[in-house]
Amino acid sequence: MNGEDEQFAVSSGETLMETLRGAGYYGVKNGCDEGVCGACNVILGDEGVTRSCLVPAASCDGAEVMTVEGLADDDGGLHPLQSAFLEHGAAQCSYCIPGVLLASYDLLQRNDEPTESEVADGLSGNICRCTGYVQQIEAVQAAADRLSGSDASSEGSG
Amino acid sequence: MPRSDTGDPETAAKSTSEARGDDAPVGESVEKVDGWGLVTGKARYTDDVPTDDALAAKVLRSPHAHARVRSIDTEAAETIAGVKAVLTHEDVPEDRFTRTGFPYPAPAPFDERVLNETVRFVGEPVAAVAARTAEAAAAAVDAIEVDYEPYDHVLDAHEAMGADAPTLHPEPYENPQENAAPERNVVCETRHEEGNVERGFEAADEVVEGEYETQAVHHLPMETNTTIAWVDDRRRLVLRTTTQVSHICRDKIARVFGLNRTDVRVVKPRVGGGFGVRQDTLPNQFIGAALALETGEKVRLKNDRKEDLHGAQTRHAQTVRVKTGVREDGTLTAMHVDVTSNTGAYGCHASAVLMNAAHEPLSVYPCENRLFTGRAVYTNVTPGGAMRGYGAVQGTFGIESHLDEVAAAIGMDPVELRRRNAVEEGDESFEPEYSESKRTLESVGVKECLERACETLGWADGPEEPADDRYQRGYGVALAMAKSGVPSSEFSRCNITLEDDGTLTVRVGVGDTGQGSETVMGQIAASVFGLGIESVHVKADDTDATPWDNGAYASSTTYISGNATEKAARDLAAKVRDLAAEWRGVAPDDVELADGEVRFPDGESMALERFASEAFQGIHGPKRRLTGTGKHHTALSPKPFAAQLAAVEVDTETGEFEVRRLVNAVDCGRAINPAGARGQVIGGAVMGLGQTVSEDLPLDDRGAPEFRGLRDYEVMHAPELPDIDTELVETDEPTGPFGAKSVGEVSILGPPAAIANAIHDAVGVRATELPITPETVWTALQEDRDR
Repeated sequence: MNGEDEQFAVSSGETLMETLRGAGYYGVKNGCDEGVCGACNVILGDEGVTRSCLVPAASCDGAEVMTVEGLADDDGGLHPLQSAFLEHGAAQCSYCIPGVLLASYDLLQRNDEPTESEVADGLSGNICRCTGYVQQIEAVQAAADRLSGSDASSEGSG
Repeated sequence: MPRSDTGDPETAAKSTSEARGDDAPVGESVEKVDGWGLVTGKARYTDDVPTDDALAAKVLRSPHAHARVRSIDTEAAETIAGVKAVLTHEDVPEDRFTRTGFPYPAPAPFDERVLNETVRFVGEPVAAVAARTAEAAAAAVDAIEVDYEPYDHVLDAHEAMGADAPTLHPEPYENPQENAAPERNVVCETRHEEGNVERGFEAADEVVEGEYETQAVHHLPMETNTTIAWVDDRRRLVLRTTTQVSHICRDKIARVFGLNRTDVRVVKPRVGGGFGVRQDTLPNQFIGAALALETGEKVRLKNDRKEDLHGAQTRHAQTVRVKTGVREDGTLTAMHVDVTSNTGAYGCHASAVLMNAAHEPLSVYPCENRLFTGRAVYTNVTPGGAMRGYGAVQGTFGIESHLDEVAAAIGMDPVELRRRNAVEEGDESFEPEYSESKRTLESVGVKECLERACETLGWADGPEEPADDRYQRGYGVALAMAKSGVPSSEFSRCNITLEDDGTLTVRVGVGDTGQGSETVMGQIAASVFGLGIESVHVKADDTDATPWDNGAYASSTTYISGNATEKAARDLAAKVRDLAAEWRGVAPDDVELADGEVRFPDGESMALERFASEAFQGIHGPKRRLTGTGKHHTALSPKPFAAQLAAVEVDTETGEFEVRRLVNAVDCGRAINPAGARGQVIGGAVMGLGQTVSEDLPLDDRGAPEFRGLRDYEVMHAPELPDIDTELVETDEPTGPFGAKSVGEVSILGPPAAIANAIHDAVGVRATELPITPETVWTALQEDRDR
């Protein structure tokens, strides 16, 4: 879990979402319970972004799982994506935000300089009802610039 | 004159700052006060607390659109291990009420109970269970046996008024609305005329008529409605719940269950969106409370997504008929708008939404003769409720679509027609007859919005046509107006404490569901002292901690709660000056507060931090802790405006169309937080786009939902977005906090008509029904070809 070893007792039929929320990973949100909204996204090993409401917890034995709680550093210092979301007004009610951040993180792992439409495609599995997505796309691109060092103004931050 | 924030932002910001004497975070896009938690997963929403000790609750819902519950047998359910309570209509208070989230008594009929003996829509709660486990609760719900006496049902508002239609509410109820005729399913009927429209039509060169239909859609906040209810150690009922109106929710729950207001507490943690569905006290909240009172235990009730989509309130489906007289020179001589609104099973927002449907969009055109007729009608569908735009989405779609037909009738450019007729400063808004609001408008930036949007889109040049003439492009326009609270209804009070470290604790009951109202209140308070936003803590999440505030609806917060917060801050600032003056033996008026400092006439100054610390320690006299209070209530409701332009491309072979660009120019007065305001504008516009092109909640003939869940509810996703331009055309509203009006709703109003008008501009097809589908466009294109 987010780079640490953790063990959870899992009852039969329990989803990964339920297990994680039950263990206090409340950043995993239950937005629809039917695999549509992306609010429960986690990054599951090599499979990348995964809807945890569709995954049986029992199938995750030994898996590496990353939740939004794993994005910030140990002192609460924000990941550039998180900073950019705040700076761009991309977080309104933010119930979708953990899932959006993880989808964005996953995208940037694969593509460190995504175009606007590549970011939009990267967020196609997330529903945000507040922002209209525009600020989120801007934030992801700004974070990409910061992470790749092409944004000189952000030196020393993040 | 309207001021532009993009012309010279520094000058604009400076002039406000000088005028108010503040060095302000107002006008700056400061980060949200709750931002860190929102992006780290640390923010706690209703369900983000351990609830191992809570009973699981589940609701049994009606399979019938209209039926009487002849009898319910709960015995089998009650004997299931772990079941703690089974409630039916026999176990809940008999008095009827309205769930409507306005202050008591609310402009709505008292026509429902916590659980009703007669059910009036598929999915209406019939019984509720609390059990030790979710499995036991589910088994108990399955074990309840209900004997229904099915009644005839009616789904269509026009049919519901017919002689053959079943009557949904035959028994008299309290608080009937204007001209109620429940025997004909009419919740209310209204007529409001200014001038004389018949004379106006006679004076016209052309008279144009049209009819427009809008659909029910759902708010779809990403967090479903959830309640955790318990009885605390002082035997008070506590609700931790998804609400945007915590104080009204508390009042409503207390009244329904016959409790003292002080014996109910509502905790509103972070809330995952609202958009109006959380303005009402929802069945979920009443049922959760009833189960907690019944069992004395903690109860958790979370709607699943389909329950939320189908069982919580929707936007009202409406039919909008418009008739307009116009002279060849473009002068509008008369407008008559007639609205039939489908309010569904209960009258919640029937009346107020109906009023809004015509009063807001008609206010944009102060022609001499205006008539509004309308009625809201009961049917056997999910109740209509409050939703962002609140009637004006429907009315604006009708009126703004229709105005393009009016322009065509006299051969005038649609923008030119609007330019000639749109409201200006000093004009009067078309207020409901009961409104006490001063009608004369002081800040009106709609024409500036129109010019700016036209310039951005390149309206005068028209769209560039693609090479292949299979594809046709068009531009469309719509104007819109909203409000800043319900006149004479809103009330907010704010308390601010100067802590001994020089920071401020702001207690105000705003209903932040993500829009950033806690941040805006923080900015307002900080600005009065010249402090940074980091020096302010805003406490807004608990009715025990905050004085009464109506909460978040009707775009009221920035204007109403913002004024209360500014007054509280100024009250506190005056007390700081008084005390500082006392210490130094100078006149209070000679003490200045700026940049977080107390400044004395001799040129000396002390940081507010030191001042507060010395006051607290009593270094110059008795120990002092300073607080300021402010309250705001008003008959005024200044209007925000928008001009929204759409560019579309239509495939003439298939009828498919793409919205390529949406330009939103919005006058929200001064933007307290420009990034937040921009977010409201874009979010509203994209929600309006969804209503225009895809969102729908189809029911079958029996009134049952034809959608399985979220997978069948087509909202906008990121890849479907058009290019979106957003411009804040700032005006200075003299009665607003720091010149602000509101911004939460106005931008959802224009897209439906702007897009319909753009499609018409592209291919000559007039879409009169929402959502606009490729089938509609294709069918009309075929008819044109066959003609």
